[in-house]
Formats: sequence, structure tokens, C-alpha cells
Amino acid sequence: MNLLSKASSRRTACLIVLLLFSVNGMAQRKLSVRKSEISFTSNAELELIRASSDKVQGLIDPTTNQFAFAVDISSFQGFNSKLQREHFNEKYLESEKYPKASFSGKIIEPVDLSIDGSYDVRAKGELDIHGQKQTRIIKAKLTIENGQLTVEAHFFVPLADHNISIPTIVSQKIATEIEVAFKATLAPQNL
Amino acid sequence: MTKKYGSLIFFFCLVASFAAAQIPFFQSYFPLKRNVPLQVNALLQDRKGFMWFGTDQGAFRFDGINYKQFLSTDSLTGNNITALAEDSAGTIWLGHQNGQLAYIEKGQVRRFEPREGSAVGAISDILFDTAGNMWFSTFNDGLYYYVGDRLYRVDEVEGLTDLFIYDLFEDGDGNVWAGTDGGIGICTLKDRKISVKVIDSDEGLPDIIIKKIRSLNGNTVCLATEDAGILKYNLSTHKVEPVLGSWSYGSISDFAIKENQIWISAPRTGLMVYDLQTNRLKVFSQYGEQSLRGLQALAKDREGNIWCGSKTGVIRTLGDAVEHLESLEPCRDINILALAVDQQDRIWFSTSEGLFVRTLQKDGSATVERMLTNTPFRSSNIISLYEDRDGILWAGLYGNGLLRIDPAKNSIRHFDKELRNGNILSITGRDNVIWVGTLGGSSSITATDGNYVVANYSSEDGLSSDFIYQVFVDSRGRTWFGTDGKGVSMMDEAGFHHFTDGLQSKVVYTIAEDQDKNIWVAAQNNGVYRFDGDKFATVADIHLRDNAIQSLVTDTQGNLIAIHNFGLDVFDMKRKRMRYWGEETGIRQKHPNLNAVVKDKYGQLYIGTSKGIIKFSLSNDQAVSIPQPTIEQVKVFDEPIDISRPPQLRYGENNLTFHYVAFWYQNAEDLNYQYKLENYDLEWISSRNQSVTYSRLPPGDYIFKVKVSDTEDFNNVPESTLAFSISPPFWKTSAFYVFTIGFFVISFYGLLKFRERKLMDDKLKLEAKVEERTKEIQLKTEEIQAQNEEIMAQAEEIQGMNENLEMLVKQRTAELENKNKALEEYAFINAHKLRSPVASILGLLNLLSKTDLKGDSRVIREHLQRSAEKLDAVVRSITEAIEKADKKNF
Repeated sequence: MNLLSKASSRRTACLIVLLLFSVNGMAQRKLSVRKSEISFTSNAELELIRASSDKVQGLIDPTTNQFAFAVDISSFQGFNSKLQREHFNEKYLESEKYPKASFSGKIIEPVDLSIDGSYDVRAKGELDIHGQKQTRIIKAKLTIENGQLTVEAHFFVPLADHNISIPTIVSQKIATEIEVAFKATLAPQNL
Repeated sequence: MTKKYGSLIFFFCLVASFAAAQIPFFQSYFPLKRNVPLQVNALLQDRKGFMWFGTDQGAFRFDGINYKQFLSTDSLTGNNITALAEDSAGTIWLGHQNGQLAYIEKGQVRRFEPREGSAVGAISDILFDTAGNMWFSTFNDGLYYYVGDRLYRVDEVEGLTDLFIYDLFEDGDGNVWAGTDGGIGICTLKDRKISVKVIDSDEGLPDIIIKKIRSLNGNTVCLATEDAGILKYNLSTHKVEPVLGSWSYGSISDFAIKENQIWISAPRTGLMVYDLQTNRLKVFSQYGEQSLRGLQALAKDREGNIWCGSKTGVIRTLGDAVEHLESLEPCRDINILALAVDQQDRIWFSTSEGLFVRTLQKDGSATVERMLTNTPFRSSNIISLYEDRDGILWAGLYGNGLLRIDPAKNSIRHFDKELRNGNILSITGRDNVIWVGTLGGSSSITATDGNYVVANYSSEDGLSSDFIYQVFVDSRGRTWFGTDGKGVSMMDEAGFHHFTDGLQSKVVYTIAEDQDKNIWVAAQNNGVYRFDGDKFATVADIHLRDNAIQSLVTDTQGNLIAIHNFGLDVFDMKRKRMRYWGEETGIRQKHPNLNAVVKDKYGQLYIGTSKGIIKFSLSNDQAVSIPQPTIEQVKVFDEPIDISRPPQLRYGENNLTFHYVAFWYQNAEDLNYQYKLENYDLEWISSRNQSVTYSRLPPGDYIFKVKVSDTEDFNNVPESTLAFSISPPFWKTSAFYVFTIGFFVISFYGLLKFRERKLMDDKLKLEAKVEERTKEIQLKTEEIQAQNEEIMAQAEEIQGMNENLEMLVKQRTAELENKNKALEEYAFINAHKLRSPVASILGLLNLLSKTDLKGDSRVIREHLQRSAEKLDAVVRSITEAIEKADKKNF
């Protein structure tokens, strides 16, 4: 399991590296994350838990509309207590085993990222959390202004999809579906 | 004597003209308003039987008469519907031009909103697979499937070769096929993992643009392509082959499979039907003013109708079961006197202009050639035609005998004088014997090695009449003659037999034999009769619309077909059901000619009428059944109730409305219903309404039954039933009776017990009281006794006192008497002895007053005077008092 997950996260890393360095002739330069914020909310009957991270790495290739985003699980801050954060990392997400969550794939809608404007798109890709991959379509809003791209997305992650089991004793404190909000600003990479 | 016209056939003039293909009957529908165009993109028949039209102005539900329009109020969803589907629960799903999906719930269009968002391309198809998953395809936005509340997309990442998808299809293994611009993607969904296998040019597809996929049979799938027509794909050998050799009709928008036919819509060419049995293709590019080009969608319903969605509306055809061959140029007179179909499927027919043959070309068009042009028979009146087993055409002339035409050898032989009569009304044959019926008896021609032996039969030989309308040879080799006025004659090895019994009219026009070797005849204006072995009899289940039958034939499906001026009356001999073909297929008032009917090797009938040829093929309509009623909804006090199981209604839920419907699109206007509420209605009630209300139904068990017929005949028609019960009120239930009786018994018993106990109690109480009272009385008695004694004592005492008192009274009286005496004495003294001194004093004073006294003496005398007078007054009053007392005492 450990090996596998490492392999998968390595794959994501590879993809990012590939996307970073594949020079595509005359193609547009790839966009990489400059500023980001990802937050999640677990709105359970008895407890509301929020945490966020600004350590999202990611790339979008405007020529192929492929993308890859990843975040360190351990970089999430917030929570209602220190212990909760510890549990999050150790018991539920097992961040030592599965240090990163990632989403990589392709933007379904054909969109020209060199033209300023705002676009509602759907991104189809593999969402990898806790070592479990799920093919997902996630709606996102892309805003391009002066070559800068802002990505905003809002989606739900059912814990069962990613093999994250919640002990029944705390089941009323943790939602079965975690709401995720993501916003990132990307800019062309410097060559 | 025979004349031989050798080498004649080449003179069959090749003046052939192109004639349009026969056009089946089409019905146009206008869901909005007559002649208001509506673009119809998708068609569906739901499991109940309703037809659904997906249009650019919402969805329409159609029951044959009424339309119901479903519009979305949600502007996001829009109303341009491009796909329709029904899920396993019977919910109708709508796919829209803008990629949105919606479904119809409780009469409302509701948007389907998956979290993943909607597709952006127009929905081309929706499919619910046998596992219950929803799939939908889009134009240029890939394929989607919805599993476990999540939407997934299948695209090039999964191996789909193209995102432009036209159609979805599920095979027998539950795989979903997507017809795309890049071949077929066969999607297999296992444990939420999808795998895609591609069939494209590598697999032998001549065209990889796959527009529609339909199952032909368990092992073959038909594919409609952009340029290569319809392909057959064999599921086990994976071989691809075109259905038609070459295809030049352009892109296919849709196709539908009906029995042995593939109905194809090629927008550039029109509507086509390809018969897999005869390998014939027919093209219909228009009917009337209406173009059949540009059809978007095709669907076959359960009745066998082909529905076409066009840019302007919906068209329905029952197919080419009935076709009208009316354009027979160069033959201008289309009053068809006689008909035959040869082994090359050519139709030979005769009119007042002569003999013609009609040949169907591969492209579906037909040519008509005039025959016998360079012969003396060019314009002969041919009134009967027959093709024998050797492909020889026999033509019966009116007054001029019989022609034997050999199309293969281009030869004609004329039989004239050797026949007893030259007016050949009917020709038939068996093996090498040809029989003709004439106006002068009947003749047989036996051919042996090019020699012909003619035998003539007339009334002199034993025929009942010389006027023979039809001669018929049955499967047992018996020859039957329909005569004019003398019933039916039959000739077998034993000679002639005559049958007139049971025939109301003795004029017998036409004879037929069914598969069970029964002989049927039709008599003039008298309907049909069946031969029971020694006489003819009518059959109870046969209800003809017209008794003036011109021809009678049977087919291989067990139908007896009677042809008359109202059309065709088809009697299904097994199911004992009538079915009528007439107005709705345009074959009414065509005036069919006597015995101008022929059956080809496919079982198709050709009927000669005064208005052309009618082609009738029941074999293409095996799916056609009879209208089936459905109880669609039941309302109790106007509220729909669940009828998936027999409803149990409470007392008071006794106002029921039954909504039923039957689908018979080919003749919806003529549907008649009969309903009956078992246990309430005594008789079946006829109605043309689609609902009935029963109010104030008493409690009980009921069965609502409804049956439907497109004729007035309700025998042997299917029924739909719904059993239900209305509970009695609680005071009428047996439980309540038991309870009540129990209650009364217990109450009565209780009352008795209570009474008994109370009486006992009362008795005891009473006894106690009596005892108490007795004691009391005793006490009182004693008391009274004591008082009595006391009273006695007191009485004695009183007596004693009385006696004492008497004595006292006596003593007192005596005392008083004594005192009285003393008083009397005193009074006497007072009155008499005291008075005199007073009177003396007064006298003296009086004397003194006369003396002259002076001073004090005077005063003293005056005072003395007054005192003496006072004393006198006192003495007087005493006297008076005594006198008074005396008076009182005396």
C-alpha cells in the first residue's frame, strides 16, 4: 500500500515535472501556481471543522489544456484543536503514508487561455486523496486577466470514495462529505 | 384449333415508362395546431403505449387523439429536446439541445442537476442500461454515465475515438455501444471502472461515422453510416457486411426494424424501406404535397407503425402492408380486370387497354410495359389471368378463348374453338392441368409433352349450371365450381356433387381453401360460408362490413380475407378475431373487381380494382395485434391512488374515477370501449370516453374491467382488469359484530351478577335496618310503657289533687260566703246608720248658714260645709257600690 501510494504520488510529481519542463516549440508557456488557497469544511451535525492550506502546487498547459494540482496534506492549518489536526494527519488522511492530495487531468471545454475573459469549465481528471484515485469531473471558473489565470472551484469529496473511515464514535462530528473550496492564481512560468 | 404465335414476345413493346413506386398510406400529426410546424428530433413509445415526441417546443405525449405538452419553466433547461428515454421506473427523461437533462415528475419537467455540471453539447441519446445506470451521449462532448450519484465522462482518455456521438445501444451483455464519428466505442462498466473497445476501419467498417445502432436479431447488429448505408455486424464472427450492395442515397439519419423490413430515413433521398426477404428497396420521397426528405427520427411502435419525426411535424405509416399502385403509365385506364404475379415478381395485369406487366427496379422505382403489342390480342379484353407452375401465363379473353403465353420462349398459343365457350371468367390449375370457368361450362386443358388435351364440362355433363364464376382446385384434387344461381358444384373421382343447402344466395362468386383444408365460398350479397362436408354454413364469429364480396382468399398466417368495396375484412381463424382495413389505409370505395386477386410467393396479395392495384401484405405486420386497454389511473375523490397492487379502500373512499386508455394509432378515432364494474354493473357499458366515475359505491369487493375494440365487435378482445375492495364501516365488520355480541353478553352477565350482588347487599342492609328498627321500636315501646305508668301515676295524683281542690273550693266558698255576709252587714251599716249622722250634720250646717256669722266663723263654717258634703258624697258612693254589687250578685 505504502509503495503503491508512493508510486502514485511520484507519478503526480512526475507529471508536474514533465509539464514543467516539456518544451513545446512555439507553444504558449505553461502557467504555474503563484498564489493559492485550498480549504475544506466538514459540516457535521455536532461539529464544524475548517482547515486550509496555501501550499498548492500546480500547472496548466494552455496548449493541451492539461493540468495538475497537488497539495501537502500536512500543510493544512486551522481545525478546532491541535489534537484534531493531529488526528486528521495521523488517523484519517495518514499524511505520512500519503503526503499529497492531487487532481490532474484535462479541461473538457476547449478554452483559449490567452484571451482575457471568464470561463465556466469542467475539469476531468483523477482525484487522488489518501492513495485512492477517483475519476471526477469538477466544475471550475477560469478568469484570465493580463495573462494571469485565476482558478476557482468548489466541490465535494465523499470520504468513502477515498477509503477514509471514520470511527462511529466521532461520526456525528465529521461529515461524510467534505466540502472543498479552491482558488489559485497562475502565471506563465519564467523561462 | 390452335393458332401459334411464335417469336412473339420480343414484340412486347418496350415502351416502358418510369412509374413512381407505390406509396403506403401516411398520416400527418400536428401536435400544436394544424399546419403549424414543429421540429421533431426524437420519438419514443413508453411502456404504457404513449408516443412521445421530443421537439424544439418541448415534449409531447400522444395517445392517438390527445396531445399533452410538457414545457420546462426553467429557462436554463430550455425546451429544445433532442433525446428521449424512459427509465426502469417509467419516468421519461428529456435530453436538450443545450446539454441539459430533465425528467418528468408528476406532470412537471424537472431539471436533472448533477454536481459535476451538465454536458455542454446537445444530448444525442439517453440510455438506461439493464443494470439501471443512466448513459447519455452528446454531440461533441463525449459520453457520460451516472453511477452512484456521480457523473462520469468517457472521452479520449478512456479510449473513445471521438467525442461526437450520435447514438447509444446496449448489447445483450450489458455493454453500451456509442456510435461516433470515429467508429463504435463499446463501453464496459465494471466496478465503476470503464473500459472502451473500439470498432473502426481496422475491424472492417467501410465508414467509421456510425449514426445509429439497432439490433436486428440476437446475433446481428445493424449500423447506419454516413456514406455506406446500413451495415450488418455479426456479434460472434465480428464480420461487417453491407445490407445493400452499394449505397447511393446519402447520409442516414435514423432507421427502424420492422419484421423483415428496415425502414431508413436518408434525409437527402427520403424514406426508404428495404425488405430483407425480397431484397427489395423502395424509396418514398413524398406523399401528396408532403416531402419525406429530411426526416430526423424514426421509430416503430408496438402496433407496427413507423413514426417519422421531421422538421415540420410527425408522420405515421402502418407501412407498406397496404400499397396503392395507381400510377401505371403507359396504361391510362387503371380499372384492373385481372392480375397475376410471375416467378420474377412481375405483376401482369389487364385493363380495357390490354395486357401490361409491371416490373420493380432495384432502386425501388417500377416500370410498366405493354404486352402483346404486335399480336392480334393487343387490345383484347383479358378478364382472367393465371400463372402456372412452369411460369406460363394464361390469359382468359372475353369471348375469344384463352391465351397461353410463355414469356421465356416468347410464344403464344391461342385456345379458342376447342373450348366450349370463349368467355373465360376464371383460370386455375394444378400440376399439369389448367381449368377454366366460362359462361358455357368449364374446361380442363391437360398438357403432356407439348400436347394439350381439352375436356369440356357443361350442365349436360353434370354441372349444375353453365355459368361458372370461379373454378377452384383444392389441395385434395377436387374441382369446385361457383355457379350462377345453382350453388356450388364439385367434381371428384366419383363425379359431380351439388351443394345448395345452407346457401341463401345460390349465386357463388368466389371459392377459397384454408390451411385446414376447409372450403370457403362467398355468395352474391350474402357473405361467406364454410363447407362442413355436406353443406355450407355461416360462421358465427365472422362479422363482415359488407356482404357483397368480390373475392375470397386465405393466407399462410391463417387468415381468411374477404375483399369488398369497404376494403378488406380479415378473419383470424385461430383467434376468431375480425380485423378491418378500409378508410384508414385508403382502400375503401376502390371497387375491387370480381376475383381480380392474386397471391405472390411471399404471401402478398394484389387486388385489382377500378382504381388501380392494391397490394396487401399481412406478413409484414405480424407485430400488429389488436388494441390493448390499460387502466392508467384511478382517482378517489379526485386524488390518484396507487394501483400497482389491488387497492384496499376504506369505507367512505367510495367515489372512484377510472381512467383507461388504449392505443390504436392506426385507427384511434374508431376505438370503442366497454367497461363493467363486476359486483355492481349488471351489463357491459359501451363508451367512447376514456374515464368513468362511480360514486357512493357500497362496501364490497369489485373488479373493474375494460375492453376495447376498433370495431363494434367485442368478442375475443383483450381486457384489462383491476380488483379492489371497499371496506365496510367498522360497525359492519364481523369483528365489530363479535365485539358487540361479546360486549352485550358480558354486559348482560355483568348486569345479572351486579344485580344479584346488589340484591344480596340490599337484603343484608334491609335485614340490618329491620333489626335496628325493631330494636328501636322495642326501646320506644318500653319508653312509652314507662311514660304510661308515669301518666297513670300523674293521673292518680291529679285525681287526688282534684279531690283536694274541691274541698278547698268548698272551704273557700264557705269562707267567702261568710265574708260576704260581713260585707253586707257593713254596707247596711254604712248605708243606713252612717247616713243619718251625716244628714244631721248637713242639716245643722244648713241652719248655721242662716245665722250671721262674721269673720273667721264664717270661713270655718264654709270649710265645714264643704267637708260635710264630701263625706256625704263618700257615703253615697259606698252605698252605690254596695248596691251595684248587690245588683250584680242578684
